Parts: sequence; C-alpha cells; structure tokens
Amino acid sequence: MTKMAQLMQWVDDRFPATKVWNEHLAEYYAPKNFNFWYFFGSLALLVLVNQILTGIWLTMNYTPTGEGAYASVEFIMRDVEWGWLLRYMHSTGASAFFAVVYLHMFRGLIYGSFRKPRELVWLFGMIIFVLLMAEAFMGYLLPWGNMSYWGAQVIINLFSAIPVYGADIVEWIRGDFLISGATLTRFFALHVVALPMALLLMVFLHIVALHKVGSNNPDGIEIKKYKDENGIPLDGIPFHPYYTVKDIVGVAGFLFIFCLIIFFAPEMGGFFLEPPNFTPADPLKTPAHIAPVWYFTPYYSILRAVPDQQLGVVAMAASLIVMFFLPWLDRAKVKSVRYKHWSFKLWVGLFVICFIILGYLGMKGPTPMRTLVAQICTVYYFAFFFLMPWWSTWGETKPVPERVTH
Amino acid sequence: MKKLLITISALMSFSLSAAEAGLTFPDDDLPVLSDDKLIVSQQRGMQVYMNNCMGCHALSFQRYKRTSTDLKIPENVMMENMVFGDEKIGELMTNNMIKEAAANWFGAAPPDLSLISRSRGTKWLYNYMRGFYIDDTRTYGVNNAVFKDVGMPHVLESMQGLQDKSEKVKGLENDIAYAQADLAAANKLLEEGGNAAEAKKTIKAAAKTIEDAEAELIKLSAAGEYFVIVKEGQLNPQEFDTAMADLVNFLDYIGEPIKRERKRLGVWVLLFILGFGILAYYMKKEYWKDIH
Amino acid sequence: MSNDGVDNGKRRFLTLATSAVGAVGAIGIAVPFIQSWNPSAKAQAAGAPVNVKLDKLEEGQMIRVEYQGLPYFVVKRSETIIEQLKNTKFDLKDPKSENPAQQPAYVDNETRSIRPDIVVLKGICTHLGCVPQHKKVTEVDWGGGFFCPCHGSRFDLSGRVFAGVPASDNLEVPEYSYVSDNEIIIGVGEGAA
Repeated sequence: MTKMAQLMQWVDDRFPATKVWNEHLAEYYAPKNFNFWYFFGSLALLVLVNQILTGIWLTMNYTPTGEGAYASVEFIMRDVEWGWLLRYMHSTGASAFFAVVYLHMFRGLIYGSFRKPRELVWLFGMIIFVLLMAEAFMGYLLPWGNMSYWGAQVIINLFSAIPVYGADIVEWIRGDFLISGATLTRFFALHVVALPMALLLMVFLHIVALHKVGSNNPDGIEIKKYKDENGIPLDGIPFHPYYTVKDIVGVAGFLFIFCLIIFFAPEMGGFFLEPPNFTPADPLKTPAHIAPVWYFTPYYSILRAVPDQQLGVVAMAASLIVMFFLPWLDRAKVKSVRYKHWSFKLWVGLFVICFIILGYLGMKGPTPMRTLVAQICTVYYFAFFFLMPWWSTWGETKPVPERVTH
Repeated sequence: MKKLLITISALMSFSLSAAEAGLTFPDDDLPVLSDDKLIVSQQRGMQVYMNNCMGCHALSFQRYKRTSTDLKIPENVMMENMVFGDEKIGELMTNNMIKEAAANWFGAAPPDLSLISRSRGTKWLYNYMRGFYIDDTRTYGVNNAVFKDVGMPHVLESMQGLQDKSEKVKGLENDIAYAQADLAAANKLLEEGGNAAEAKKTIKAAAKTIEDAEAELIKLSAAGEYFVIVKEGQLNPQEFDTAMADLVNFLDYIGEPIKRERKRLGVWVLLFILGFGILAYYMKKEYWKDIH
Repeated sequence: MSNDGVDNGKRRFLTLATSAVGAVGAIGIAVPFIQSWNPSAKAQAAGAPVNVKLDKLEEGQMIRVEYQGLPYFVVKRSETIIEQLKNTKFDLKDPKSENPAQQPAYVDNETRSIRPDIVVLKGICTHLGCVPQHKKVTEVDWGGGFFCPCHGSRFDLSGRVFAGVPASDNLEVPEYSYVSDNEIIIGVGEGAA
C-alpha cells in the first residue's frame, strides 16, 4: 500500500470518507439523460456558497445599528478594498438565487420530480424556498435604505391581519413602535446566524432524501427498474465524473451571466438594487412607489388583488402553502410532460404566463385595470393547483418507454 | 372572450406606463462622453461643485484622496484650489453646515449628495439643474420645472442668469389646465348621472386638447424653446448646459467611484470565464464519449 | 459504458488544463476576500503620517504624538546630554544600535536621530508592549530616559536599553523626516517623500 492509501485507510477506519464520496458522487448513479434543466440544482448550491462566503465577509465591516448601517454599507462600497465586489456579489447573488431556484422548481413541475417516491425531496425543497424568502426579506432591511425600510414596514404589517392579536404581534416583531434599530438588529441576527443554519440543514436533508430515492429524469421513469449483474442501473452513470464535468460547463455559463450583471449592471436597471434604497431610511417619508424586489412581486400582486386586507394576506400565504401539496395534487398516470396529455402543457404554460404577469404587476402601482388583470391571474393561479386533481387526469397519455431516451 | 380582450388591451397599455411618472421639462438626455473626455468633464464638474454646492451639500461618504486619485487631480492642486478649509486629504468630504439651522432656512436640511446620482438618476439631475425658472409666488423667486416647489434657491443664477417659460409654453400650459378642469367637471357629471353623451364628448375633446398640447410641449422642449433667458448670466445657454453636464458627471462619479474600474475589470473576468467555459465544454465532451 | 474511441492523452490534457484554469480562477476569486482585510481607506486616513511642529519644544521637554493609534515621543536634548549619550557611562545592551530592525539606516547610531538634538521614538516598550514613562535627567539617578512601569525596563534618552532589565532591544525609531527646520513628519522616511 502506498503512503496515500495507508492514510486513507487510517481515515476510513475512523470516518466513512470513502464511503460518503462513493455513495454521493463516484457511485451515485444518476440517469444519463439529464438535460439543460438539471443544471440548476448544483447552481443553487454554488449560489448558496457564494452568499455564505460574501455574507461572512460583509459582516466584517457592516454595522447592524440604525445609526451606522447605511453609512457602513457605503463604507464597504468605498473604503474597504474590494468591498464593492463583495457587496455586489451578495446583492446579485440574492436575485440569482431566486432565478436559479425558480428554474429548479419549474424543472420539478414539468418532469414530475415531486411524485412518489420523491415527496419528501419536494417538501424539503419547499421549506428551503420559504426559508430563502425569509432570508432575502430580512437581508433586504440591512442596507437601511428607504426602500429597505418601507418594504419591511409593508411586509411586517401583514401580520396585523391576524385577528385580535395582530397589532401586538406587529409591535413584538418590530420591538418598537415603528421599525427601528431594534428591528434591524434582530433581523441581522436572524439573517446571518439563525436562517443560514436552518437553510444548510434543510439543504442537507434535501440532498440526503434525493440520494436515497435517486434522481428523476426528463422521461419521468425509474432507472432502478433495470439493473446489471452488479446492481447498477443500466441507464445510470456515476455522478462523478460525468455530471461533475457537465455541471462545470453549467457553472461557467452561469458565472458568465452572473459576472455580466455584477460588473456591468449591478443595479440591473433598478430590479436588483432599487433607486430609493440609495436614500437613507426615513420613517417620515415613503418612496413614491413601494415595490418589493422582483422575486417577491408575484405574491405581492396576489396580496393586492384581493380587496380585503385579511383575505389578501390569507391568499398570499395560501399561494405558497398550496405548493407544498403538489405531490398529492397531480393525479396523472405519468410523471413527465413528455408523455402527458397536451392539455398539461396548456395548463402549465398559462400558469407560467400568469406568474410572470403577477410578477410584473407587483412592481407597478395599482390601477383598476391592473387590479382586474391581477385578479384574473390570481384566480388562475389557485385554479391551477386546486383543480389539478381533476385536470391532471384529462386525456390519453402517451406510452412511456421502458428505458430512458438519450 | 371579452375578458381576454380586456386582458390583452391591459397588457398593451403596460408599454405606456413609462409616462406615468408625469411629463416634466426640460427632458434632455445627458450627453454621453468617451472615457478621456468624461474624466475632464468630471474634473470641471468637481470645480463647479466645490465652488457652488459644497457649502450646503456634503459628500460625506467620499474621501478627497480617493477623488483625487480617480479623477487624476494631483493632491496638492486639489487641496489648494478646491478645498477651502483645513481638511486633510484622507478625510471625508464633509462640510460645517449645521443641520438644524439649515432646516430652518430652507424648510428641510440640504441633503447629502453622495448617492444622489443613484437615487435620482443622471438624466433627472441634468434636467433639474437646468430647470429653474422665474416664479414670483415662491420664496426665492424661482421654481423648478422638474422638482416642483423645491425649497432650494437658484444657486447658479450668476452662471445661468434667469429664465422664464416662453409665451408659447405658458399658453399651452393654460390650455392643459382648462382642459383638465373640463375633464374633472365632466367626470363629476358622469358620476352624478348627468347627460352621459354630452359628458363623454367633453372628456374626449379635453383629452385630445391635453394630448396635443403635450405633444407641442415635447416639440418645444426638444427645440430648446421651452425657456427664454430674461436675465443674462456669465455663461451662454450652451456653456451652461456643458457646465451642468460636467456637474452631473461628477456626481455620477461620486455616486459609484468604482464604476469605471469595475467595467474595465469586468471585461477581463468575462474573457476568463469564457476561456474556462470552452475548456470545460471540451472536457465534458471528452468524458461523455464513454456514454452511449 | 465501453472505452472504445477514448483518447486518454487528450482526456488527461483537458482535465489538467481545465483544472489549472479553474485553480487560477479560484486564486483570482480569493484575492478580493484576502485583500479586503487590508487597512481600509478610513484606517489609512487615520494612520496617515503626522506632522509635528518643533518650535514650542524646549530642551529637556517631550511631546507625545499619536501616529497609527500608538504613542510616539519627540524629545529635545541639550548639548550636554548629547555629549553624555555619545560617551555613555552606563552599561547598555546595544550601545551602537547594531540591530537594524530598531531604527532606519539614516539615523545616527548613538544619538539615534537625524538632527542630534531631536530624537523620535515609538513609545512602546520592546519587552511586552507597555508605554514607558519619560524621566527627565533631574528626576532619576540614571541619567534620564524612559522607564517602563510594567516590568522595570530602562532606556536612555536615545532609547537605548540598559543592561540587566527585561527588555532586549532599543526603543524603535520610526521612519521620519524633516519638512522644514522646525517641523518633522512621522511616517515618511528620508528620501521617501
């Protein structure tokens, strides 16, 4: 045995290093027919690492107080060497995270990746998504700009819709009679410590659950059905090296777009960094247009579409909760869009259009016409989910192949 | 089907939403300069700023030293010609204005302008600087066409002189005001259940008047005939526009001092990623030859 | 999986090339993270060289100045003191200032100064970092100098350490230079400006 092998043996006797490597990479057999849509899982992991690293570095110079926060961000942007890059990587990373996660979820939707036996993979993923929204929302308060302030004001006030205790709960969340340094400091603690820990745990569970049942694929069939004499799926290939080298290409493509934004349009025309946020938080002056950052706007639109405060909040919460039930709503005989009835494409296509319209309307001020459109889209949004047990059984499905198409 | 049509027409109307911020004049674009010319413009802009604005508007997130390096102004030249106190080169560009007192004079304390170019945008600033006109109803005798009823006096009067809206503009604004009054009255009539046909006709006519007048205003503004100079300043209108472009370019620099450098660096980063991506692509292709 | 048509040389080359470029990228992205720990522009401004005017400094007196957050001593010495320092009767560990780390090359080895009368010292004891006290000639029986209250180290008026005390090195002479006859700048060495 060489020295290296001896050392590895020494470690393996005490810690399952080789075993973990094999189970999750070198001998984790993934279907060989992954396509473009399968990049976004590993990209989400990459963005998570980016957020954690740049986030840690930002805390080194950030001041989580009402008096110091705004100035400390500009201190990072100007006085700290490379501080601007760390900040833009983090702010662009937040938007990139949602872009990647939305595409990742869309992949699951069209290929039925949430169907049995992957219900827990979907549920853990949904918890990650909700945690991510909380993380993004609290992070957005930290620059202490005027949009940070009023965005938080609007969202925190959603809790006032809770019957009887609403006002008290809102005051408790703020820790003051208005959003103040007290709110900022607790959001900071949650943003940099509590939520990242919860996120990491859920990501871990998401991957453990996935590797227990194995990955789905664009055909929506189980590769474990046909195995060779060694018990290796015939249509499976080791994740490493085949999908690691493939994902590296995806990483390069992603980084190109990511850096294009960071270096040439870090504000992304006001979508990633909103202009009013370059004015300090002012409890006496609301910006002319309050719009959440783009990744929240579809839910914000749903909130506004309902002409009643409490019901609006309920609708917004429901729009998220309903997604958790997806594994039990889809009753189609097959998983993948490839073999489903054509009506599935129509339902999903309209859903995507409605989601984008809702997102667009959430950025704009309300007019009667826009509210009407938002209402139509909201109705469709819920119809898509609530009626899924019915419409997913429509029509003939195409015959599913025994082996993956490649 | 009707709903679908409504949806589509609503979607079409989104493209018009840019105008919802309201039409203000002047509405000119900030001239775009090449990098070499831009830095000279920013240097001149700093001079304008330090002479006219710094007394009230600090740039308190920015340091003299950084400005001197980035704008290629030698430290001693900057300290002698542009900095009028005993500030040190490494210090932040603050002033000695007392906020409470200033708030008393102007109604609101003059804001710090370190980030004004990022919150307002350069185009807005360029037009704001050139939008002061005579208005006797205001405390300082001037109003601003871009920022209505702003509390700031026309600090650059000695440079620009004084301008007034031209007679044509005043006439058109009058037309719009009357049309708007007609519109409001007709709408009220509709609500109260008056003669619907009559009201609708009025609304249509008023809307047409407003539309035509606004189109005419846009034309006048584009031709540079929106304002007329009634009292000459040290600079002629072209020179003043250039000075204001300089000032805005300087504020644009102050808003994000790293801008030039990040774009320069970005090109190399993208080229690197591209090269890496090409290599990675061929590596993937090579490995995937195993897969049949 | 079969291996026909696989060019192992090409595969090895591409793997190595991609890894190498990737490693360069990883180093590149590490640079901002590492360099962001350098003193910020704010720290640099606070730690900028300090000008000290000497016109009010009388013989035997000391001015304390702060440079980069640390105390620095500027002492003016009389002709007699200078003579005594040159022909010192005390037992010193490094009377000729032979440790180059403790002073710039352009200061004299015995007076440890550019101009004999003015000495500039970093007021940090070379033993364990306490701030020594200035003792005038008249106050003590060891010729005056600096006394560290923490562990009793003594230095003469050139900052040279006495034998038999815990400290091993002379007090540090910082980089400094004369702006004019009556003004020095601490932090900018001779020939650096």
